[in-house]
Amino acid sequence: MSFANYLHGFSSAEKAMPLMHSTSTGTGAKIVVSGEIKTRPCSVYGQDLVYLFYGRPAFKPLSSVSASAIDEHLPMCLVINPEMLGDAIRIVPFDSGGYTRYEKQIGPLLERPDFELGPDREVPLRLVRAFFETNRNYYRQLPTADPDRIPISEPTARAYARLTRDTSLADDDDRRSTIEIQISGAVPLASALLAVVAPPVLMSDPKVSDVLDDLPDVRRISYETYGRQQPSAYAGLLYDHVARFLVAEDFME
Amino acid sequence: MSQLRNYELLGLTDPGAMSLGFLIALFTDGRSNAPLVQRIVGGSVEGFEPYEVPDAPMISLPAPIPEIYLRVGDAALHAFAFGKGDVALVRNLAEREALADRIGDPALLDRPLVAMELASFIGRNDLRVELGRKVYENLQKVSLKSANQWRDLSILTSELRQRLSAREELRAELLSETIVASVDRDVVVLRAVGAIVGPEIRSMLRKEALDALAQLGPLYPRREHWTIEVREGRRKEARRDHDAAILLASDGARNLMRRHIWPAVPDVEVFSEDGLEFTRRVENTAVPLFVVYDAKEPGVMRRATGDWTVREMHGIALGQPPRPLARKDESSEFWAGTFIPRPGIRSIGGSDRNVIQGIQLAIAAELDRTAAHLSPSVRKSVLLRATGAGPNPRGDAWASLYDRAWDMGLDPVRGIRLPRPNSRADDSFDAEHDWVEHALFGDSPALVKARVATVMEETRTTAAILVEAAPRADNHIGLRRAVTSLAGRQGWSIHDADSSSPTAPLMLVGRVDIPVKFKLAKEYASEIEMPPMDIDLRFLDGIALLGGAGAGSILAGIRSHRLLVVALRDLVTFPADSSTILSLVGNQLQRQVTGLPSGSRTKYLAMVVAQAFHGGNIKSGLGSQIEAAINDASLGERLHLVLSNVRRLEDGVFAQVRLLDDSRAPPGGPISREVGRFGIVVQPHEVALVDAGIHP
Repeated sequence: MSFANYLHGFSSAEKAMPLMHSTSTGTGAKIVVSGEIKTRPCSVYGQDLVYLFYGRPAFKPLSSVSASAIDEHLPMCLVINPEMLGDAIRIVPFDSGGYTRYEKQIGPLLERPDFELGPDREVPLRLVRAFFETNRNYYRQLPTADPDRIPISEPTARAYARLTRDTSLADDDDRRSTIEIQISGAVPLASALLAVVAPPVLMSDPKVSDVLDDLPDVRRISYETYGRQQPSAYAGLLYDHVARFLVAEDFME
Repeated sequence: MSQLRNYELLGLTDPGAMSLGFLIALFTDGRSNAPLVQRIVGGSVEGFEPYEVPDAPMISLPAPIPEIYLRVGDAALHAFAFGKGDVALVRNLAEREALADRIGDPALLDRPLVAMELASFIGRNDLRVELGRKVYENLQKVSLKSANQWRDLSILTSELRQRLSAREELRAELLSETIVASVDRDVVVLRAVGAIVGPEIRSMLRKEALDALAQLGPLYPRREHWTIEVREGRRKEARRDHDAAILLASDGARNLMRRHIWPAVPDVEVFSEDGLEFTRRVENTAVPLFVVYDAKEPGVMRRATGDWTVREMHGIALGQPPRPLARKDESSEFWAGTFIPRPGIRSIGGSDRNVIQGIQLAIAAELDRTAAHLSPSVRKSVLLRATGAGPNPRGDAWASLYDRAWDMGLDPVRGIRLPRPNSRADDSFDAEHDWVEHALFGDSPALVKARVATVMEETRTTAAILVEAAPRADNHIGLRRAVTSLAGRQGWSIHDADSSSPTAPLMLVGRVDIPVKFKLAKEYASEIEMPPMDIDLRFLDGIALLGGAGAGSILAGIRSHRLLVVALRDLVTFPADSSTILSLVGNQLQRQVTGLPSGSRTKYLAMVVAQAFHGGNIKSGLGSQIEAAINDASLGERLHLVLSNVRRLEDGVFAQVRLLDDSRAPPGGPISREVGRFGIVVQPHEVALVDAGIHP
């Protein structure tokens, strides 16, 4: 049975979560000012794609640039309407670009294509239900599926359940179980942007403000940077403030 | 005296690369290549740690670049950029306060949100709120909804969380990580995510929310009356795979678990302290909670339940319930709980493991009971487990449980029985194997469920009961009913069974007549005085029932009353057509098997051996040595008799006995040395002394 067929046994009782694009403030400012999230070439799938994460502000570094080479470490997040799931061309249960890091945990019998799920917009909801039960557990990365209780005839589901629980991967690498949504065209902010979560320096940038003023329905949530000394602390603030939005808008409890 | 290390300021990095707002100061200790950053607690440097981006670019500072050295304990260094080349370094309170003059700096004029951060930093709440109001008004021009959400999520929620984290209660700290506030006109909605909020917490949240609103006055114009609405998250949200969470609340419990690995079933998460992780299980999950503590320290459990009044916790008390047992209406302990008595010296597999097995079964039983919707017929119970022996091990185990409960002053049938399922999947009885269980416990509910079954299988437990930890009515009606039931099923006629006096004797009429007496336990205080050696056990005046019926009690019963003190366990294999009082003596040998010598057991065995000499049934070459030993004045002190093996025969029992002599023990070796080994055969009408390897 394919992974997608396995997921058909699950359906979510909760709302679809928004899609998210997290990046550095400088890059984020450029995106906001440009009015869209543009596609970029993808060497893995050989086409131009926009990568978004389902429900979580996980950070995907540029494939050609190491994280440390980015000269800014304040993150921000663009929260995208879940309706954009309808534009997905492929859904993968983890960051496809990081597959080489998970390969060892997954084992030799499975390959990346085994995990690729079609564009069905219900897929992320079923995934959350199957492996985390609730949106909140998914957001907090509290897996509930026990790999040993998944039938042995479902090797992909078992491998994914193991991956969600694997503590051998770096603590901060939550992209191993954050659902990736691939879209083949640019995402227009005017129609798709729900909220911007960012530090004051970005939120009060005149150009950014001007663009956002033209998008009255877009929510703005700022997080204070004062007192923080590490990029991971900023990332923690970002997750916290995105969660506030998701709770206030009933995307999760 | 050690000198604190100096950390030199290397430069500053701009995390937003916008030359505006707070910068990060990078230091070096002169030894490592990686730049270090301060760990700041309460405004002071608590330590230094490597920056997560070791090759982060540093901004250029206008000359002269100040030479700054910090040590742990110093006031922390902060840096704020007003633009390229315009950086304020703040090393002390004066410099911090001086920044108030720059709140209106041109760089910040159009950026009130950034200025707000600066106002927070210098502790000027008035400026902060005023700037917040400015941001709010700007946003309001675009969208009221958007402005309100920024105000509620970025300002009010943060203010409320800060207030909660400043409180001492652990629950407040936890809420400070998750609570979300939003305001609609005069209704303030507080979403307490995943938490279970009791009245005290509601009241605390209400107070802190009102204080926060007052603090942020200009952003939240005063209303006549704020309505605070607390919404709880659904408890199912964080269901984990574990069956339960255990808090080890006493040192004894922690030490126990430190030395042993918790078994696979039931699947529990074990917490050694009542800290944040356990708090999360309490607050964010509906997983059943157990607290393991020492029975002598109920205050530990009281404190744990006091900390967490919102969730019921099941206590697992290690040790016996206190004596005298408290009646239900007398107990000040309001929690449900299970006592796990420490095992006797004869327990198999070590005392610690035995206790863990007890905890394991107690938790499995509580989980299965809840899953089966079996009502908790008792609030506090004692868990007793037994592994049966002899020709009817299941019967032996059930009778032994009855004996032990009775001996502890409990009413054995008030509680829940835990049968080992074997082939049966429900609580119906198998007439051939379960008649003892039925006879003794037929009226109490049974729990036959998966977890209990697995644990009993793994721990080789034949039967167990959860019996109410409360004193039974001080009469012998129950014991009388148990005896008549067991004997009746084995063909004995019961005379005077319906006597109105529960302590009146019964008469068992079978192949022989055996009077049965019911006396209070205190009359059979354990002793190791030897009864006169000429007492013929065949002609005792009857039997007396006593829960434990240990060797000391048996000696006392014979010596003082010419009665054989028996336990129910001795009556399990006791057919009316062939049994006598000597048959009961044979049955008793089974439970006297132990490698450890004791004075009372030695004398009890000597009494049985003497019976062989009375009848002249000496078929062992060691006869004279044994006779000398059982008549030796040092019997029970220097010389010991120990049962090493008991086998059931068609019409009796064969027991292998070792004679030990302390004075012959090798130096540095065991305290006793075996100086002889022989057998005794106990049949309904005689006892014979035989060689160790020979039995019929």
